Amino acid sequence: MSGEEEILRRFSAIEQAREFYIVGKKVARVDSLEAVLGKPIYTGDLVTGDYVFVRAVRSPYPHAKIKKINPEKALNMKEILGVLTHADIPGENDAGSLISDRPLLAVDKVRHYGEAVALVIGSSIESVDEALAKVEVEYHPLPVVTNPIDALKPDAPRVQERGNLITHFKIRKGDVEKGFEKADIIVENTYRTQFMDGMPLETEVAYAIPEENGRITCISSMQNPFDVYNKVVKILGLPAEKIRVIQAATGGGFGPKSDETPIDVAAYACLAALKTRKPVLSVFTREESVTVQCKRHAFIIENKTAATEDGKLVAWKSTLYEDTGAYISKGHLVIARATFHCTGPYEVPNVWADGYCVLTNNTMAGSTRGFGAPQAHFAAEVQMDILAKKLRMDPVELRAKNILIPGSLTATSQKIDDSGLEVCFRKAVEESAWHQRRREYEEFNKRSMYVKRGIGIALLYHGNTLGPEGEDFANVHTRIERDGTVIIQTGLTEYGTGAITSLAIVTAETLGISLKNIRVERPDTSAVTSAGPTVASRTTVIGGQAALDAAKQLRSRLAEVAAQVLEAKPEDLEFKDNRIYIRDSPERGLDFKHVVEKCYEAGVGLEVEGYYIAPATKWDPETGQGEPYNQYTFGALVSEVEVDILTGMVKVLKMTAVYDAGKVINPLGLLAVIEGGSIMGLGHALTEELIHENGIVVTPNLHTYLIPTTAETPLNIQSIAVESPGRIGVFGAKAMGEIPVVLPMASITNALAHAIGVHINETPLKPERILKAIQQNV
Amino acid sequence: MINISLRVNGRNYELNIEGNERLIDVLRDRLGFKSVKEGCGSGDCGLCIVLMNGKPVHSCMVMGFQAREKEITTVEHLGDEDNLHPIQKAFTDVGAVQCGYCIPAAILVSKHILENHENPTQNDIRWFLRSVLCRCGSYLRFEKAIYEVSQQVR
Amino acid sequence: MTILGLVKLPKIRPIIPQTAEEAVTNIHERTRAAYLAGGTYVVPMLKSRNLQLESLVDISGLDELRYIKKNGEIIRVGALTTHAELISYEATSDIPAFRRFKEKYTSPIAMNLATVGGSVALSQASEDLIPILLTLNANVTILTRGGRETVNLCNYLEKKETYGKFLIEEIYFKLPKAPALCEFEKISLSISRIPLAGVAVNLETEGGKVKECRIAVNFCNGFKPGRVAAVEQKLKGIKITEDVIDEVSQLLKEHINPAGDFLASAWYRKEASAALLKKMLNRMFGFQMEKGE
Ligand SMILES: Cc1cc2nc3c(=O)[nH]c(=O)nc-3n(C[C@H](O)[C@H](O)[C@H](O)COP(=O)(O)OP(=O)(O)OC[C@H]3O[C@@H](n4cnc5c(N)ncnc54)[C@H](O)[C@@H]3O)c2cc1C
Ligand code: FES
Ligand code: FES
Repeated sequence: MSGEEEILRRFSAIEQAREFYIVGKKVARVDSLEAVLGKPIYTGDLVTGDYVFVRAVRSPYPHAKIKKINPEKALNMKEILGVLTHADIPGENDAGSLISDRPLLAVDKVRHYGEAVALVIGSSIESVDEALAKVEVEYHPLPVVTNPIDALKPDAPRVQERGNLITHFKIRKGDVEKGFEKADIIVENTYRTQFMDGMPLETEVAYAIPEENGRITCISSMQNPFDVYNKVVKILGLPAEKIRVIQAATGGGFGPKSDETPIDVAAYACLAALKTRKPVLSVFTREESVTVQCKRHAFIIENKTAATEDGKLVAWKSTLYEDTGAYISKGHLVIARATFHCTGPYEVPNVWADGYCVLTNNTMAGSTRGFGAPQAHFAAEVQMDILAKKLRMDPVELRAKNILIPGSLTATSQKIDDSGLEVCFRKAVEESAWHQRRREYEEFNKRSMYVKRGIGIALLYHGNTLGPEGEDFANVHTRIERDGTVIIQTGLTEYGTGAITSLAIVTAETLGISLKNIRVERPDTSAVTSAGPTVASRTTVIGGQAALDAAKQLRSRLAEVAAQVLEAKPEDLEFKDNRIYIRDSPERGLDFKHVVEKCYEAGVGLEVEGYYIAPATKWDPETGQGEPYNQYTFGALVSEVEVDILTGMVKVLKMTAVYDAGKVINPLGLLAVIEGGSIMGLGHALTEELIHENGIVVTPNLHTYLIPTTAETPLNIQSIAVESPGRIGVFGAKAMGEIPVVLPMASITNALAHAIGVHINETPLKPERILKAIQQNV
Repeated sequence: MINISLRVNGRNYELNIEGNERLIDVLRDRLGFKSVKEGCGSGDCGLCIVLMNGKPVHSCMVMGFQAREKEITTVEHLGDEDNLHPIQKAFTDVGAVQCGYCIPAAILVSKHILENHENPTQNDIRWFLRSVLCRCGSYLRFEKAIYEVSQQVR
Repeated sequence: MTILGLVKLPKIRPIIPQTAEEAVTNIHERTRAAYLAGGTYVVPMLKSRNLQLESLVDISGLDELRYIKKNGEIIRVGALTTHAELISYEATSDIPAFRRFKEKYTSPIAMNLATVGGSVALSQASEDLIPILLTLNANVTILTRGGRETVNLCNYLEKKETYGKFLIEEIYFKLPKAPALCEFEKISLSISRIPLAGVAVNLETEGGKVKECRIAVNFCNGFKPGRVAAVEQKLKGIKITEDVIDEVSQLLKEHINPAGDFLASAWYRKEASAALLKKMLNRMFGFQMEKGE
């Protein structure tokens, strides 16, 4: 065994033994200091000197032919430097992220409200604003389709040249018809979820700076610098090295910043920079952002569920209609995730599911935190509650009989190999004092006339990382400077989840140094290679493995050099507290920095590339059967609510959130993500609704699209992490970034049903909807 | 153009500004205090909150010329790397920072709460902070940070 | 010059008068001009292009209009008094209606800018002070080029459009005889300053019966606040019982005509206004209905 292998073997032993020094300890985010000091770190803060502005002329129609574009009046204005249409795009007019169905600037047709038709460049923002209205676009309005079920009818208006049906995703497990025959009880319900907006508080923004050598550097707010980079290169038709994309601090991601509007805003800025040879700022207003930013898909889900008298699930049939708007974006993948998870985290022997991704003339939906899982779990978990009610069973009892435990088969017949769900479920029931609370609230409701209380639960499983959604790899570039500072560079990005801190923690752990000696650099496409997209809660799980790989390589190089100085075997060395010492005689050791210096002297390179790729997943597209994901995160959420039945106003009193994080790498980060995700999910459940009226977005701002404030926040969110290690994540970690938004819709709906006696099948649970349900129920 | 004088973060400024500049424009673009963020420009998000004569106000709803003779404080004035204001430190310690975009406003409002309430209750804290939207949902972290500082002071 | 708002305000001319009279003159000399007080309405409207103006007459510095004082039983509030100053004024801060106004304010930091005069000028459903002031039978002093005039808030709401360009100088009202029976209740969602519903009540009782009574709602007609005469008449001279409360809340529903929007339909606003009235009266008269414990 070579020295290096031995060191690595030793290190694996440490990993196994779970003796962590930093992992799992409460540490502050690596970049939180800049934020509390108010440092200029976001794109808009970095703009200086002389620059010009670019904005898009947007369609007032949800569906129309473009007959003519006449920019003359705008061009005649002073301060206006140019108007660009599709004809002026030097490269390809393609701003689709995975599927090239969306032009950057509309060609002969607009397919949704707010679609960009032309760009106006000017030296003052006031003049650009004024000029937008002076670009004359002649439209011929076309019939509009705004509902996925209508869009599937043969005579429906066609949104694109292809048919409106994009994907038909299937699950075929066992024999559902037989299952239904055998059943003692069948419940059948239709669920509807609304369009929602991730609503990062920083809107889309890009700043493009042309350089002397012809290169354009674009600083921008986004999750996936490489997606943006690749597209901008294509759109501008320039050689790859002529574009450089850098991620500035990003004021919220939540999915939309990994989708297509970051491509748009960067392309606008770069096109204008190419034309004017001046630095260009491109910023979306709040209204613009809410209008065109990708939405959380609206779903219609029909669930038919069968069980035996004693509550064993025997068959489940789901039909899911996903409204992806006028362009596909990630719709074809979101439908897959939603369909895979359509039964909730239960073992059902017979499953039949059809998921349809459908085009309409609504604005485009795409990746949003949770990626189809919140909608699927809403429909599954409310369905389970309705079933429990029919069976006169406590919702917890029914779930206990059916949850996925080690050895269970999911809807895709994938065998579950850990007990994460069981543990989360049990903990949630215990910690929330479920049975006691449920009784107390029932007593309370008998006495109280107009205020009612309720408690509800929902459970989840969430296939980790990309699975069927793409190649699940990451690379991380780590180097140690001569002064001992460790620098991590990666194309994975930070936008609020604290996941990048996890990479630093993994590195610090492996090298036995403190976090403050580590710096994580902001992604720059000219400095690092693509690390794959920062989506699907991948950073800790997959990125962490790549960081670990890099750190291990560095560890063995350092160990070799230290061993020579200490006259010891490299494999006997321990790395801890910024020292490298002999495990059995800790007094014999060297400062980490000293060893670094020795490496420099000896010419030992301390710059490495860490890489990780998750095993490819397999499933049969005809039956959906197989192993679509490498591991699953599990969770349980108990919500307690109080509702005023005269007004329908509901207040979430408490949430007990238990998630199986596999291994907690960054506890403080995880806490913030659980609390924050729960609050975001609460908004999805209660107030958030992006309303299209005949295709037109009528809630494009923060006083009509209502996100939670402190007034809506539960008085208490009890966050509990359990650790049931996963197969692929670093140190056993499982994906957590998106997870906490998945359950609140279902959990709150179930709690509300306990309070008012009726399940509402449609979100959001605005007071009006609740009041109607109450009045219809009496 | 209109001439105004105002005091920002302990320094006096004499400025010629346009009639259509709001206080946020003056602070960010003329004076370079970039901690002030614009999330909507319509009074909703609260990210533009600064202290004006000691009171928190939305700088997107104050015209630049209205800030004449006023004293303004932004987060840049609170502390620096080696000398964090207690509320800045508490925000870091409790993990309040997610994307960070709302943090300057949340810190200023928190400071105001602490200076006006010896022992702020959950209600007090939530009432003031209603004006600051945090899409990352760090509200309970803000509460904790404020609570921790109020305990230290006592 | 460098600019970095998301969008800039269109060009506009500021005018800074030194006195109230000068302000009135200024506004008459200009076309497309408006007063700028707290700016919490005007500035966002300019930014969203829902309001197009050439000049802003900045009255925010007119300290002569920024006061709140008590003359005997009369409270006088200068138009430039902010909502924050109003709620912390000793003589009124204990009145439940003002306490509720504070508690239910959707964006409390905005209270430091928003002025009482701004609320009266707007007189829309978003202005919680209007129903409260209506139940306090407040009067408004306005200054026009013709001079000073004092009108009852009720009449003001009706005739507002006919006064031409005027400056609100002062609002005054008598302290309620029974402060505990002066209440306000509102429900709203998130940061929306447009509420779902709001109701204010001010009663005086004598010998167990209602002697004086005023009831007003945020949404009376469309987006306009107003008093609900039918309910007031019904209550006068009778003893309040749970049945009476049910009856008047039903009556309220029938006599208001609220607008619907994306937050709530007209139907919901009627239901919710009635519910708020019912809850409030029950609470005021000690009928336990809320917690049952
Ligand atoms: C996010 C948010 C939430 C809010 N929530 C609430 C709430 O819950 N409850 C509530 O009551 N209010 C609330 N408000 C405030 C309220 O809706 C108004 O914006 C505010 O009362 C207007 O006052 P202002 O002084 O800022 O008016 P400005 O914006 O300065 O002016 C408003 C209008 O009134 C005119 N005007 C102002 N003063 C005078 C005067 N003295 N004479 C003649 N005309 C005048 C102006 O020309 C203008 O047309 C909220 C505001 C915001 C931004
Ligand atoms: S920018 Fe949103 S409130 Fe000022
Ligand atoms: S930390 Fe992201 S908005 Fe508050």
